Amino acid sequence: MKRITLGGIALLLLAPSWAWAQISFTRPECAADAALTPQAAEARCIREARKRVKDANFAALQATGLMFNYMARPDLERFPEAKAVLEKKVEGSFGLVFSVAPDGTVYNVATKDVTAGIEPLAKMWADTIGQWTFAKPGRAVTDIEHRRIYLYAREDDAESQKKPQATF
Amino acid sequence: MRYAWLVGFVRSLLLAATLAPGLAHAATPGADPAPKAAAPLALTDIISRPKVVDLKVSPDGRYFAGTGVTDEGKTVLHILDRRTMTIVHSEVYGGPLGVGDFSWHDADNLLITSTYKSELAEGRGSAGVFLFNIKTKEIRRVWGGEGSTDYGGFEGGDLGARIDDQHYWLTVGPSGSTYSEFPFFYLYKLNIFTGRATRVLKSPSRAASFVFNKDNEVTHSIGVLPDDFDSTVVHRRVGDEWVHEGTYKNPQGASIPVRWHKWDPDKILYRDNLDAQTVGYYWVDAKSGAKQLIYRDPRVDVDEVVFDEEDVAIAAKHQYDYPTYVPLQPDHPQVVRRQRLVAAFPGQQISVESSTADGIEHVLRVHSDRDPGQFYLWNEYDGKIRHLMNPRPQVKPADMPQTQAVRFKARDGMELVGYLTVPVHKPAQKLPMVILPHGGPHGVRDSWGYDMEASAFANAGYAVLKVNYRGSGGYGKDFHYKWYRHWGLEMQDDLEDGVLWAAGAGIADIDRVCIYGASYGGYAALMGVVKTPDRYRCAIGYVGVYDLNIMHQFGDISRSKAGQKYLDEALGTDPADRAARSSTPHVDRIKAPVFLVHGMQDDRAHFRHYEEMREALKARNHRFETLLVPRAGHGARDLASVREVTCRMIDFLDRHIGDRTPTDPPDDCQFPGSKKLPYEYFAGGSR
Repeated sequence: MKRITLGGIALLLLAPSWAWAQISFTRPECAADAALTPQAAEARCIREARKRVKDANFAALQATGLMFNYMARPDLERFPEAKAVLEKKVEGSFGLVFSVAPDGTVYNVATKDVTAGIEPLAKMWADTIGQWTFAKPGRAVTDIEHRRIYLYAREDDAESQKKPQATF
Repeated sequence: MRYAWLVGFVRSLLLAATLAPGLAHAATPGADPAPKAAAPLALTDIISRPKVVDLKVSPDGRYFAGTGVTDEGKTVLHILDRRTMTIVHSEVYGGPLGVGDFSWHDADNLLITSTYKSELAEGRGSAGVFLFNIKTKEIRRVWGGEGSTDYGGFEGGDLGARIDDQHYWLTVGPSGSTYSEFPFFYLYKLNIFTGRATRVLKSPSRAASFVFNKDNEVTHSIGVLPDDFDSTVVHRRVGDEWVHEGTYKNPQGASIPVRWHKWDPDKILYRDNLDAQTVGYYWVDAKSGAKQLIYRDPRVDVDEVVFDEEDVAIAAKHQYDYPTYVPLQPDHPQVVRRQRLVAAFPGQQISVESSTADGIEHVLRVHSDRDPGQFYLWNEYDGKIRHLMNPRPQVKPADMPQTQAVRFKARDGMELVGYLTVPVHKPAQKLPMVILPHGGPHGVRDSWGYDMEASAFANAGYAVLKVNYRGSGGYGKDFHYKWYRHWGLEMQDDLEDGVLWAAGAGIADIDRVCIYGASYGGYAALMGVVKTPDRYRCAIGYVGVYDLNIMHQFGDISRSKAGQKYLDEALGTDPADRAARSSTPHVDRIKAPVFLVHGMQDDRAHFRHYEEMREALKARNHRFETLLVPRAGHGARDLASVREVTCRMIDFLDRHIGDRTPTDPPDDCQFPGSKKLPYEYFAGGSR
C-alpha cells in the first residue's frame, strides 16, 4: 500500500473498490413526439439522456478547477469482457467517484450503483480513470463524481429500417 | 537538427501543463490592437515555412500527428506519444513526393494521402494512399495513385468518407491532363487493410462528387458539363439508375445537395442560389421537394452553417468584410460555449482542426491578421485550453502589420470591400501604398486574415490595399459573372477607386502608389499603368497575363473545351477587343517603371506573356527590370525563390515609392541558400 503525506495529513491511496452494489436499471421515459416516428423520438430521447450525463460529468469536474494533463480512454483490447458487454448492448449505468492527489495523480477510484450485467464496463472505467493525470492542483481534490450510462435504441420498429431515399 | 522544432513543441506542451490557463485566462497572442513603434522584422522571418502545417489528435487522445516542411522542401510526418511527448515515428518524404493529407483511421492506424510537391507544382494529383500502423511501425501503400505533376487538378484519387472499419470511398479520375473534355469519375470502395479497390459505379456526369446517405449508399452525384466550367449537373440515384435532377448554368444559380440529415431520413441539406443572388442553405424534404430556408445573407454567400448534435442549425458563417459568426440560436449551449472561446482569443479566428472520437478534446488553430496560427488543445471536460505550439515562433504577432477590412464606393456607387494592411512601426498617414489585386479573377476573393506577402510589404513600410473588385467571388451571382468581358474596364476602375479612397482617407500618399499583382493581378498591374499612366509610380507583374490574345491561344486553359469556352466568355471573342484590353499592345502609354517576374515553366500565364511584354518594353526603350524563376510554373514555390522574389519586389518599391531613388543600384537580395535567380535591369530612356 502506498502512502503519501499532504499537509501533515496521512493519506492512504486505496486500490479501486470492486465491491459495487448491483442494482437494476430503469430506462428513461421517452415521450412521443408527433413530428417524429416512435423510433426517431426514442433515439432522440436516448441521445438527450446521454448528453445529460455527459454535461453533469463536465460540470462536476469543472467545479473542481482541475485541468487534465492526460485523459486516458478505455482500451477495449485489455478488457474483453467489457467489449462483450458492449457488443451485446446491455443497458445500464454506474457511478464512479475518484480523488486527485496534490501531484495530479488519481486515487481512490470507486464504483457505485452498478447495474447488474455491466460490471465489466465499470471495472474498465475505474481502470481508465485511474490512469488520468492532472496538472498539480497543490491540494487533494476528493470525491469527484463521474457517471456512465449505456442506452441503445430499439431496432424492432419497421420504421427504423427505413433508409433515406432521394424520392422527389 | 531535423527534430529541433519538436523539442520546442515538447517544451511548449510541458510548459502548458503547468501554466495553462482556464478559458477566461487563455493567452491571447496578437490581441494588442494598438500600433506601436517597432523595428521591422527580417524578411526571412516573415517569408518562412511553418514548422507544423497540420496537427491532429488521435481518436483516443493518445497521439498527435503533425506534418512539417523542411527548408529543403521535404515533408515530414511525426507521430508523438502524448503521454510521454516522445516521437514514436517519423516519416520523411524526399523528392517530389510529400504528404498531401492524413487522418486517423482509428487509435492505431493513420491514413496518409501522398501527393506530388515540387518547385513546379503543389499538391497536384494523388500519388497513393498509405496506411501506417503505430504499433507495428509498418507503412504500406494501400492504393497506388497515378497522379501527375502537371496542371489539371483532376488526376489521381480522392479518399472520401469512411464506410466502415475497413472501407473508404475513393473517387478516381483518369490520369493525365491532356483531355479536352472533363472526364467521368469512378467511385471505388477501398479496403484500407487489403488494398482491394472495388469499382462501384461511374459518375453520370463529368468530374463528379457524390453524396451518401447514413447507410453509405450513394444518393446524388454533382458534376459539370463536358465543356463548361460554369455549370453544375445534379443526378440522384434511384435503385441502380441515375435520374437527372437538374443542369444549372452557374450564373443563373444552382441547387446542390450537400448531405443528408443526421437523424431525419427525409431531409437533405442543399446549398442554393437559384432564387437569390447569394448562396443560402436549405433543408429539402426528400419526398415533396419542399425547401425550408436555414439562412441566407443578401450581401454575401454563406460559407457554412453550424449544426448541433441533433442537426439543428445553430449558427451561420460568412465573410462580407470580416469573418462573421451569426448565431441562429443565441442561447444554445454550443453557441454560448463558442462565445466563451472567442472571448478568450479577442480579435482572432478559431478553427477546430481535429477532435478525439468522444468529442471531448479538440486541437484548435487560433489565427489572425497578425498571427499565422498557433495550436491549442481544448478539453471540454475540464473546460480548459492549453497552448500546444507555435509553428512560426519567429513571427511575433505584436510586431506584425495589422489588417482591417474597409468599405468604399466605386465611381458608379457600388460598395466594395477591401483589406488594408498597414505597417506597425509607422503611423498610418500618407503612406506609400501598394494596391494588390488578387488573381483569378472570377470567383476568387480576398479575405481577412494573415497574408504573408501583404505582411512582408507592410513590414517594409508600405500600406497594402487588396480590393474585392467586381468579378470576385462570394458576393453574389451578378457580382461574380456579370463582369465577364470587363477585364480592364470597371474591374480595373475599382482598383483605382480603392487608391482614391485610401488617399482620400489620408492613409495613402497619392503620389507614391504602385500596383502589383500575380496572374490576373499581374494583368491588372500592367493594365493599371496603361489605362491610368499617371496614377501609379511603378508596376510589378508576377506570372502575369499581359495579352488577352496570347491567353486565348496559349496555356493550359486554352487546351480544353471548357477552357476555350471560359476564355471566350471571360475575355471575349473579338481579337481586336481583346487587344484593346491588353497591356502589351499599349506599352507606349506606360510611364511608370515596370518589374516583370515570371516562372519559366508557367503554363497558366504562358511564358510568352513575359517574353512579348519584355520585348515591347525594350523596343520602346522603357525602363524595366525582370526576374526569372527557371524552375517555377505559375509562381515560385520553393522558399529560397520566394524570398528572393519578395526581396526584389520590395527593393523595386523602395526605389520608386520608398526612401531610395530610382537611380540607386538594386539590392542583390541574396540569402543563405539563394538561387541567384536571373535578374535583368534595363535602364531604358524613360524615367
